[in-house]
Amino acid sequence: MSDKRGMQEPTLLVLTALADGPRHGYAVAQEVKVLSGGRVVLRTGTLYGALDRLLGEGLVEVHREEVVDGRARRIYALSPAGRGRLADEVTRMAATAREAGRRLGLPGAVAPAGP
Amino acid sequence: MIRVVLRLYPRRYREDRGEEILHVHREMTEGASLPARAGELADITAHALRVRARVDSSAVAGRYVAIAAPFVVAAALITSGAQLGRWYRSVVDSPGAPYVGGLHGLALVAAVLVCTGGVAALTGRWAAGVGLLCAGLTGAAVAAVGGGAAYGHPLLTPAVAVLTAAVVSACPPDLRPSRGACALAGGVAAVGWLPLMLLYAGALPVSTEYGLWPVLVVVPAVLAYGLLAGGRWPAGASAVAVVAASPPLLGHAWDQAGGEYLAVALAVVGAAACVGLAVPVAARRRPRRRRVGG
Repeated sequence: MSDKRGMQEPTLLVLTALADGPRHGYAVAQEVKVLSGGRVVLRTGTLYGALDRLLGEGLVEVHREEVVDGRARRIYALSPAGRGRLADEVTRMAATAREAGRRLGLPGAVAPAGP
Repeated sequence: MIRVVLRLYPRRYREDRGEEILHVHREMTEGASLPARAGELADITAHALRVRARVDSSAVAGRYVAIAAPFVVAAALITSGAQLGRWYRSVVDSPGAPYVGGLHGLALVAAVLVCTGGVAALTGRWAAGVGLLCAGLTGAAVAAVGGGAAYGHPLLTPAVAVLTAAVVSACPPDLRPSRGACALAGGVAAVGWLPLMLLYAGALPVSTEYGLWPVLVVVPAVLAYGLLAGGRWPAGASAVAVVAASPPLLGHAWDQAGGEYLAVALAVVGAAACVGLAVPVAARRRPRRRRVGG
């Protein structure tokens, strides 16, 4: 899939959930819920569907595996490619938001630098 | 119960991920209500079936399904909307009170469910919309099997319903169609449906479309969108989307005009699928021109 296309929201939220450090599956789902203000709730099947895809695309990697209270856990982290892809998306969204703010005349919105 | 559901995963996947999914499921459902627990189980069941059928979002087929799904919804919307239009026309033409009992009523309710579900799915409520749409398709299949030719073909209509429901419900939840794709599919549905309403209302200079209008709208639109998408769609995705969206369109052609025009509709779908497969191959073989200057 092309990098030029905007990222879908579940993908963006999962990558953002992993941006500040590795997390296990349940923690990723909880973080997505917090990040979206409770609007996006990833259920277990959907979460693992997304994680499988992002692992396959090389955007997420297994950081380590551990056993906690007899429970097997994989800890997931952003791969360098995932970090780059998220950074690209953030830059794209920020540019759009900045331009929207400028056109609306919102305080704090900065006009793009001239030539 | 979760142990039983986990057995739906292919053995290798279950051995690799089963315990992890089990524990995450337990953490997710700790202290949750019964509906929330049921929703969790249903979600894992759906994921297991997608993984087993290799249409989960990490599989190539899952991406094809995700691309095709909104156009399949559009095709179902047009044909069920047309069915409601024909019923309304028959009510207007008939001197007596409209009959809405038995299988006739079931077929009408089914068409309303498909239309309501289709509109909901394309306007941001994908899961709920797909649920309604599949319920409507089930009703249409039951009416056709029970009532025979009056409500469709006893074999063709259920086959169309199963194929349509399979594609829209297989769409991976983390690859739901984008707003743009849904808006386009909605536009295609409107262009496919509105002229049929005008036709049934007698507002057009022709008296029949031989069951071909929807196929002539949906197929070129999907093909053009796929070809214009270029590298954003995986190779051959436009051909897959055309074929996936075709069952309701072919069913409409059969209902309206029988075998002769079904053959024409099949030829249109086949030709578009061939173009959808050939153009990306030709584009890859064509040597790229080097830019000169600037």
